[in-house]
Amino acid sequence: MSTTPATVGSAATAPDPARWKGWIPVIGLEVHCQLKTRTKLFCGCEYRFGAEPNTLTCAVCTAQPGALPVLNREALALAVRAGLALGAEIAPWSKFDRKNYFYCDLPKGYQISQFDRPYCKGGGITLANGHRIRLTRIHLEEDAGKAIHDRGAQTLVDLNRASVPLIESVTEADVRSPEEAHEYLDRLKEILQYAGASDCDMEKGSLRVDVNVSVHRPGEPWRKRVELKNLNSFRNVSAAIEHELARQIAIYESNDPSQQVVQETRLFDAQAGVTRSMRGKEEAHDYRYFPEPDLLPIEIDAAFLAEQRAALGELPEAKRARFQSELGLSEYDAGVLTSSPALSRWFEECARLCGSPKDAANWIQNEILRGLSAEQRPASAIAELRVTPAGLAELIGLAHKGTLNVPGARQVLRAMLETGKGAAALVQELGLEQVSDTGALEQWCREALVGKDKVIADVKAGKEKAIGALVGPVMKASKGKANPQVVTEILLRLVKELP
Amino acid sequence: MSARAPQGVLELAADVRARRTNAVAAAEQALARLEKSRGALNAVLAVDRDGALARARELDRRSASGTDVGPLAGVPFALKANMCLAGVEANCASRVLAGYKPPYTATFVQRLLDAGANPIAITNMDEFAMGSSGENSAYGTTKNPWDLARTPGGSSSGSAALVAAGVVPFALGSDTGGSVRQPAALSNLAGYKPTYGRISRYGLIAFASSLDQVSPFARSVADVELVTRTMCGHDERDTTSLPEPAFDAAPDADSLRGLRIGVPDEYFPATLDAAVRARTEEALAVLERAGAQLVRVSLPHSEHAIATYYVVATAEASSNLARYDGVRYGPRAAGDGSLQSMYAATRAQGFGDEVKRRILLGTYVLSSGYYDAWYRRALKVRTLLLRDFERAFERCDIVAGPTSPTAAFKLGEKSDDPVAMYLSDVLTVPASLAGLPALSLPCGFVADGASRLPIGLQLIGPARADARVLALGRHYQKLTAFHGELAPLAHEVAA
Amino acid sequence: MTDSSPASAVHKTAQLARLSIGPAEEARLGAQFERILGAFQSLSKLDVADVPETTGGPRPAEAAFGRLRDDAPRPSLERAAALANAPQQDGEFYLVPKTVGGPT
Repeated sequence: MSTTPATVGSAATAPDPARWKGWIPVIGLEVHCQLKTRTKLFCGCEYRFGAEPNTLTCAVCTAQPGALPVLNREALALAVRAGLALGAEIAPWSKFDRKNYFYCDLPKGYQISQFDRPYCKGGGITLANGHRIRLTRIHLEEDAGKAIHDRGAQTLVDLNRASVPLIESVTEADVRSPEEAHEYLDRLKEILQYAGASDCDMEKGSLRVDVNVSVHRPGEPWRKRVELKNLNSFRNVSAAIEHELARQIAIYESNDPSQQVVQETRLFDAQAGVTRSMRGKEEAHDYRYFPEPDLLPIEIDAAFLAEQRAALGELPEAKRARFQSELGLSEYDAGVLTSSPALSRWFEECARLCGSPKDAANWIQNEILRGLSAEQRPASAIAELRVTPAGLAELIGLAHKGTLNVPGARQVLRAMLETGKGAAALVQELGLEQVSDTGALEQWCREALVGKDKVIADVKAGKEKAIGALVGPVMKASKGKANPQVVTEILLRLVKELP
Repeated sequence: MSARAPQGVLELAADVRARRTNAVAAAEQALARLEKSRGALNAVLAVDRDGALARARELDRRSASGTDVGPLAGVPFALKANMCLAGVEANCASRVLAGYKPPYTATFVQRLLDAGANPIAITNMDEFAMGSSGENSAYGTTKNPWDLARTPGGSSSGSAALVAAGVVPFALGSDTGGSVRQPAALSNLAGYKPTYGRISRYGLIAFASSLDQVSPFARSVADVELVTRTMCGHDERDTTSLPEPAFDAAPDADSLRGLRIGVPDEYFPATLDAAVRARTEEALAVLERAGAQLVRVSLPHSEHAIATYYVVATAEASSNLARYDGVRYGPRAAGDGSLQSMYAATRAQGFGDEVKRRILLGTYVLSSGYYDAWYRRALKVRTLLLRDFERAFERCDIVAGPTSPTAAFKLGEKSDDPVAMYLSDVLTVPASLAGLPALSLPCGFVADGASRLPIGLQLIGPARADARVLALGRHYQKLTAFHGELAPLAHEVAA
Repeated sequence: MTDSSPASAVHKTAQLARLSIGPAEEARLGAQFERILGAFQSLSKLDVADVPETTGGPRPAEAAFGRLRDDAPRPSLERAAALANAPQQDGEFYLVPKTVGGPT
């Protein structure tokens, strides 16, 4: 990490200094993301979150003596795609190193990681306020297993997760507020999901965040930095930062020499909303990094790079721009519909099939996403629904043709979501086909005109709007299946025909 | 030689293939000889009698049904205790791995099995291959069949002793800094360390990953060549294994005309044992008479090879041996009840002195503040050693010299002096650091009291010139008979 | 490591390497350490400023690229086989002394 604050981003976008009593927050994020491969980084074991303990291991990932790692090509491909998506530079030559330390979830007694020659440098994410969070580096490494401390008298070790591929991305200390941290993480997640590199599912541990927090006075050097761990949601990340900033500022403001900010690791207790020191765990680390002799250097040639670039597809920012310029969506709609790769794929497919991007956008947002959000499901869950993009496109088509009116179409969509049946079949089944058959409508309209002399007189006098009062009863008579526009036309014609 | 003198690999395999004998008879004979020599040699840590006989019966059954049973059909052999054969204890002669039965089989062992060879025993060694005399075993010292008061060399002590005693026609060792070539020299055997990466290390329990190579012992060069070619070729489970398939053996030559043999000044220091010097020079004279041209070359950084080797090898070892922590295998010591103290106690009780010394040395040279001065510097000097050889091979095709500065020394003679022990590797570590193919083969004897002790000639080739080195070794063995001479114990065992 | 005496180096290195060593052994190993490092001092005399490092084994020139693994699953070990060599296990997990707070 560089030792000077970022100069990018204008002062105008900087958070209000009064919020922190004139102190300036200095925040850096280290994010581990699990790569979406079928098998582990260095062996052919599959990984599934929640699998029975120690059922997804082999000689390599349990560190049986004599077993050797072999790099998974797909892991490297996804790592490279992640780097490209973040605008970083991919090193043509990099290497793996061993990080040596002893812990029960680390079977070899070292983690295969990258030390001084990561595969990826630079890049970053620009936030909505224009401020750019720069990435220092991204490196590829293997995960450790899992130690379970809260079951019984001993610690239990599960090595299923050992050697699962991770990328660790490290930002410069460019983040200036808890909100910026949250937004950065949202954007990072979005980009990595788009790149197909990671699910970024914090609940399943496929994304983990550590934060470095310190504060300083304007123009003064940076002060001691505290590392925050045990952050299990983006909300907790910003809450932990908020609290830690307050804690450090309170200590500095107290001018009490018995209180000090020390360089340490603190765990966030989400329930209590405080960070707690990991006291007694501050023994100086000496990881004795050295080049991993069991693996060859990583050499990335132009062909591989081009392949990954091609596989990357369109990133969210470009997609948002295209949804506006090509499909005519509003900035807001484009933002919503690109918030997850699954959603944007779903939308594009539906828009293509129904030929009306705006209608597709409206139906998805007003009907489908609203429903998902009511069930507290993410937008990406759209792909798991019983309605397909083709199904919604069919429904939109029927509504367009006038076969269905809007309330009817809503009713059909609900039934589609419940049953998975097609729109046309449900329209029939529910008897919702709009009646545009003029014979039946004319009969209902004649009946509606009986005794409505005032309305008839008004219309004849040129107040055509008065006819609206008669549309309702006709609709009612048709049990809602009449096409209101057609009804209006018939009623007007019938009035004109009257003597 | 008695009528029951031990057969070589090629002979025995030919007999089994032609059904002049069978695999069961070969396995039973080897097992019987093993039992006969066991007390005297202490060369064996585990015997897989049931497995060996079952494999032999199966091979004979397939042979009887007309199946091709492979180029090593029915040939019994022994594995060093740092090699994995599923279910057979591989404890690296360490207490830390006592009882460890690997759940998988090494690629090179599988290739030998597929070729019809039959592993019968796991051999003693210096703990984790760290030693040059076999004295660093947690399970007692192995004796040299030529003189039971002396070392067979190390670290592949048991494998060397078993072949030298005529128990098996070949055995596998691992050579990190000379652990096969030096015992081959001290036991009158051919011992061959291929180019680094020739043989997959998958299933070879690591000492120093950038140096370790599986290396066979046999009495003849032709035999080690066949065994090497059976094991080598790319293995998808070892990224550092060379990409190409097995090399072809070079055809026999009528003469050595046109071959330039480089003789490095640095391999004949003033301190070289007189007999070693004499036998090596005689061997060079044999090669010269056969048409080879001797060329003086220089490997100027050789004096730094030992230090470089011990820094690089111990650094890697300190990390490779971190996995022995009492969690997944091996016995566990309690310590004070905490995890970290369990580690420290398990490792303190599990490792022997020399292993501890090397773990500490390796940890030290990698630790913060010492990395640049020791480890990084050693990696740079390793480059200089590589360049020495590159330059030498501009002027010659093969480098020749002695394998060991002395013949077999007495057990206990150096065991209290680590530095003296390290220096016995001085002639073998340069080729290891440079990853070059190197062969040790018998070139005569020296009388020492009542003992007649073998001496070895070392041939070193450029990277990947395995066929060239082995062809020269075969040629030399056509001109000489040293390799046919058997240790006194081999006569007893065969009787 | 500020104290540069060999025994102190041994003490600190032994802690890093998780080897429990008593004071007598520390002194003995310290003396050997000093002798070994003394014998290796010749390395420091070489000028290696412009020499590249040879990391890993000496390697052939061709790129490592073809030697990556396809992302194709291979069978894992049966759990019983994976746990078979463990000094303490309960049929599901490896068991170790209770530890909290993560690695040090």
